[in-house]
Amino acid sequence: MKDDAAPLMLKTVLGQAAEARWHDRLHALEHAGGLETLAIPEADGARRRMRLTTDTGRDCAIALPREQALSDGAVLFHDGRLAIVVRIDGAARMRLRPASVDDAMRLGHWCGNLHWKVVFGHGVMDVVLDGPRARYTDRLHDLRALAEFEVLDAE
Amino acid sequence: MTAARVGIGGPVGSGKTALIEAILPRLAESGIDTAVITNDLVTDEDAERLRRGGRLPPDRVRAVQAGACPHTVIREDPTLNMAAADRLEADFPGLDLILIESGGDNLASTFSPDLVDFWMFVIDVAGGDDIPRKKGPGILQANLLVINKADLAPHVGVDFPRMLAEATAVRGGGTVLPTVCRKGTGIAGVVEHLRREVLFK
Repeated sequence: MKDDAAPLMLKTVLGQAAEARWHDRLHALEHAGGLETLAIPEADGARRRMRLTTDTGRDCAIALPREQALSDGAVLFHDGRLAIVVRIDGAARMRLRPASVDDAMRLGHWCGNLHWKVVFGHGVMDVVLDGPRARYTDRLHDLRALAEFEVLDAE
Repeated sequence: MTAARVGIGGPVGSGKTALIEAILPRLAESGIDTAVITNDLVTDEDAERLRRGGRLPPDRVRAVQAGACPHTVIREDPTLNMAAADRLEADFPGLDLILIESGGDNLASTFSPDLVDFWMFVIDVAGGDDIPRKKGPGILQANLLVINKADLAPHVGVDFPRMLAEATAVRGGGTVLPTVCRKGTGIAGVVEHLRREVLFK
């Protein structure tokens, strides 16, 4: 890399912020202004390498081993004066409620063909939105003639 | 660090293999130890082309045969590619980068994050200047969009600055880089982008 300083390399998950052994240390650092957060969109949560900045603008590069994964609260750096913790920002969701079992099958088949990520609930299906909501509702337009369903805000 | 795994997808004939051929020498100049996995339908055509090219030792080019729709082995069930990448890392300790070339597929082709750390999508101007406007998932979701064969624009009636602007707009400002892989144009920019965003060296 020719034009900028080397980022702070974050090569392993040290622990979880909620663990007892980390909680007090992070709490103390937070009061001392030494706790920084890396906000990662849910859509990128499965990645093991990426370059991004903390909430204070610190340039970081994550490069985790294959056997490790990012998660909300993962502690990636700690040197006694500074700690860096991951925050996974949940993606917006759009809830779909089919009117009948027949409609549910058509809706599921349709969303599957579109490779949408979904979370199943009781009688509903929440679509994880990786982009503007309109991009998703546009894709449902033609299904209206084939299946009856409601589009709701996910709870 | 384990090797970065970078996917390269895009339609048939857009220049995926040509892009790999073009970036390999620059990666080597930068001291980045690289291997390649190619995906073809039922042959090892792309792997053989890279081996013949001589830019990498032949055993650093591995082939996976998808057998069916090329996107299945990079998205739905990427285990064949993951196993090939694991074998390369075992065979060549210290690898910095594994490039995983998809078989040529349509604009909906995307990579599983279980397989790659970063992926780029390659289209070309001869495929039509309306491709970005069609907003396929490959165009929208790739970490980097490469528009290849930029030099052909005047010959195929494409307003290239407009195509570039539309591609950037549909990607919400995400990076779009023009290339002419056959002539080496724009290749330095692609390598620099990879070094900054995923190789970190």
